Amino acid sequence: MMDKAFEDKLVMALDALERGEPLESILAQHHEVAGRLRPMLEMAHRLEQHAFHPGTFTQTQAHGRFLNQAADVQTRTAPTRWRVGGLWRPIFATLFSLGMGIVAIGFLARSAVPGDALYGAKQTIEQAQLLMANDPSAAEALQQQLNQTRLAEIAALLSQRRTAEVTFEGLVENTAATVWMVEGLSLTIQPSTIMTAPAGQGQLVQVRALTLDGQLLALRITPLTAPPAVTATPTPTLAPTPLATDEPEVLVSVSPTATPSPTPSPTRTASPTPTLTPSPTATATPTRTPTPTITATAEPTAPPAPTDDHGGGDDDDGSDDSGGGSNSGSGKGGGDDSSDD
Amino acid sequence: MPDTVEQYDELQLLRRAESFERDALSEVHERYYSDIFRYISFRVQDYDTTADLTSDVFERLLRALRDRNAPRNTIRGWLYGTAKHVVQDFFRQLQRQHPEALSENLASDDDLPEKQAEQNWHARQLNEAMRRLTEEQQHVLAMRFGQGLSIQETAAALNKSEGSVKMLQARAVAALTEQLQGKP
Repeated sequence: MMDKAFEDKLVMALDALERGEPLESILAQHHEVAGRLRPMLEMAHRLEQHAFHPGTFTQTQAHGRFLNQAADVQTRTAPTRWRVGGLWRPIFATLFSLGMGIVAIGFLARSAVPGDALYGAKQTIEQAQLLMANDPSAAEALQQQLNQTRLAEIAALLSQRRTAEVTFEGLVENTAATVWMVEGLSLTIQPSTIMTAPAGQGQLVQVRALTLDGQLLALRITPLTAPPAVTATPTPTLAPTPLATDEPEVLVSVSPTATPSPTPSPTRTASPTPTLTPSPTATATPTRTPTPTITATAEPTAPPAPTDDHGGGDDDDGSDDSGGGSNSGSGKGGGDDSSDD
Repeated sequence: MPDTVEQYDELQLLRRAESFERDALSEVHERYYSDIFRYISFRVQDYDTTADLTSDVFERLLRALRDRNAPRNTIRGWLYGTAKHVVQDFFRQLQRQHPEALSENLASDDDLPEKQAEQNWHARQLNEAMRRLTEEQQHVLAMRFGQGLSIQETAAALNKSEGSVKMLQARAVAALTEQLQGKP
């Protein structure tokens, strides 16, 4: 390893050598380190002889080959990555940037809440997702997921004490005085709240509200389902769960003596949900309470025959009855219990 | 913007070369072939291999011009950088294919006269010692002693200060000397 002082002397000596000073003269100037410097300066001199010069023939030959290659390379197709050229390149670049921008906005919009700049983008993306849902069940599942997203957004707005107008759907769980409980949210009813129709407990409603100072103030409440016809107390196991709120349930009281009138078909009912179909265990309860989840998609012309109403409890193959696809089957659930009266 | 007439001239040449003007390409080859050849020969020490690798550098220049990856401002700096990579690739490939070749002469001395064989032996010793230097030191030595570039030109090509180039050169020369000391 060289010390700094020697290194400086070597740099100076190499400079002098390059200027053309004789070796002995340089060594004389640095006589105290001449012994160490000499082989190094000789090495520098040797290095100057180390490279070859190209011969004329080599150079001429290389020159001709180079010009031939130039003609060849110019006419050869450029690699694929540059094949998109001319006017197309800026177009592709723009489309690419646009795509990347949309992806970025979509990513950022995921956490947007009403009032945020990107909330509109979030809603547009959701609508696009709904349109792209390839079958009704997928669309239904997505709609449920979006409703949950709305509720989560409202919860976030309330916790942040932000002000924004929101719209959501939910089941009325409690209608005590001026504060209702809708889908787990406390909804303050104000004198100015518009009720498009009377709404009560157990009804699915659409709510337009304002989040203000951590409170949810109702602006407009629109019932989406008819009020419950019978105030039957559902057994706890059959109580509608919040997830079931998107499937309106029309409660039908079936008594053996009454001929039920054709029930208006709820517009939102696609098909009965298997999970809410009376199961054999439910019909075996001694309370004889009519089960509340009968989907009124039965044909209006077919009144239930009490004598035939032997539902899941008596059925050997109760599993068949639980199938939501059979209209008559679902109509039998309530009748079964009633006939036991 | 070019600072000197030479830079302006080179920039003009580059623009014409980008259009594949035959005269411009011809001028590029004439102007730089010898420099690049000397640079490569300094490190490779085999005439035919040097000729092949130098042609490779110029062919890469053509492809770069076609693909618009060409040097923006200087052909010379681009050629030095490419020559450096070409030499590195050559040694890497040689090491992979013939690990023993690096410690032997590229050409056999059997049929050579005694004096030439001795010169070859010295060159081989120097070459082996050179390959133990850092890549940067080898590059500086090849530019300074192979191509004969001045300290200022080398510094500009490497984007370093003149002091750094002088220091690199001094340390490389000292390291080579120490490695070969005691050997004839």
